[in-house]
Amino acid sequence: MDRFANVEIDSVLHQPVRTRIAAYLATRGEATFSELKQALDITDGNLDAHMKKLVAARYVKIRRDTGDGRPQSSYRLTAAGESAFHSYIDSLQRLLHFEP
Amino acid sequence: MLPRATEQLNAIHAMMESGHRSVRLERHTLVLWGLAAAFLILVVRLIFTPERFPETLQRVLASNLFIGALLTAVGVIDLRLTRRARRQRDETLSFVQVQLTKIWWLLVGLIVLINLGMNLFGGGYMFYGIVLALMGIAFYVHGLFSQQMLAWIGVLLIGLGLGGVALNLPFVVMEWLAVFVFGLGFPLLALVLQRNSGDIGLAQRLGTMCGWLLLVLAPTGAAYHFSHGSVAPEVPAVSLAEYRQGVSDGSQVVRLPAGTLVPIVIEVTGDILDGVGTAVLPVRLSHSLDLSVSNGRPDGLFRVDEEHWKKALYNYRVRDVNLQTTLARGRGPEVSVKLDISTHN
Repeated sequence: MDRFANVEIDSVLHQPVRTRIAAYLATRGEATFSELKQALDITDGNLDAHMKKLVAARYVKIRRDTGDGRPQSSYRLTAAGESAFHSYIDSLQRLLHFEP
Repeated sequence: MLPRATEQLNAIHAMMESGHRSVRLERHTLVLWGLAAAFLILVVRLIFTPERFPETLQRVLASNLFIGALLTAVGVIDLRLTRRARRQRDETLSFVQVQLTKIWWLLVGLIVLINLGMNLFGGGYMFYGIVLALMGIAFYVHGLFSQQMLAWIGVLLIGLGLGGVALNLPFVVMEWLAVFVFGLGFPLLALVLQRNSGDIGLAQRLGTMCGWLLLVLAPTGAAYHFSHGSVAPEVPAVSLAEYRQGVSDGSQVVRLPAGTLVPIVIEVTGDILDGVGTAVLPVRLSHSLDLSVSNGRPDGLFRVDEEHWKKALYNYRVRDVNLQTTLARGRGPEVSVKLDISTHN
């Protein structure tokens, strides 16, 4: 692994489901739990576990809307999350040079 | 095991594309905007008549305010219904859809402004062509981030609008086309998009597009056919001399034989002109003309050389208006005006 020593990888984002969540939120802007579940095609429990990690890392924030109708929670990337996602893509592109 | 960089980048690319293509036009959006536009096309001319609003500026401002207010109301209702529908399905409005909604509103605002400009400065015969093309652009842009069918219908609308202008189709044909595109085509498209929520194959898309076009063009043709024809007015025919003497009042047909003098009264004003009064240009009829008259005013029905009766709304057009200023050495300054009055469409 010495050859990867110069490439710093974000351990929160370097996980397939969390990478996809961040990529989806980066372009969609905002999404509810149901929309994320549908887009990623994973179970509630799996998604919930990954969302908790992203929220704990302050990469994702939750917006709770209690306006007319039923309450709704939606997720979006924080500024830190967006920055981390862009850095992660840079890291992946640098890693590409080391792949066979 | 850690994922490979290429796999991760591919996954990111796929999810970003999925996030971008997250736009969906709600069924009520197309129904609301379509019916409102068709309603406006049909009623504005009936409400804002020269009889009710004798001043042109007053009439133009009032009609455009009415159009603007109604479309604003439709925009607000559409947004509220969309947000409610999304909330009920536990969905949000994506970033792209919010931006596209702004583009939609801008294009609608542009249509109102173009209408106002054409009402004041002319060029109205192009109006519905431009409206269809602008709506086509709105659909096309939506289709780029949503179902491809929308983009296809967008291209079709652009083609209908520009084609109508290029082929010099009569204003009334374009008006009927716009009525059926909005009033029938939009709700039909809403149904099509709802039934095929995913993207459909090329053959099915082509078939749907042709079917949609047929369902819009057929009633347009029928409406034009049934509305442009006219029956002969069953009123007494009088000569110009009898009409002048006021032998009978009410509705009548006034017969003007070929060679009848039709003076064209020209009135020119301007801030750099002095002492300009009214001039009369003597023009004679080259064909005989029968004019239907009600209470001393032509009611829009006429016939040339005793052929079939026509409606002026469909068959009277001033085109090729040309105003040119010259300063010839021999004659000095001169303004020449050319225009062509046609009774064929």
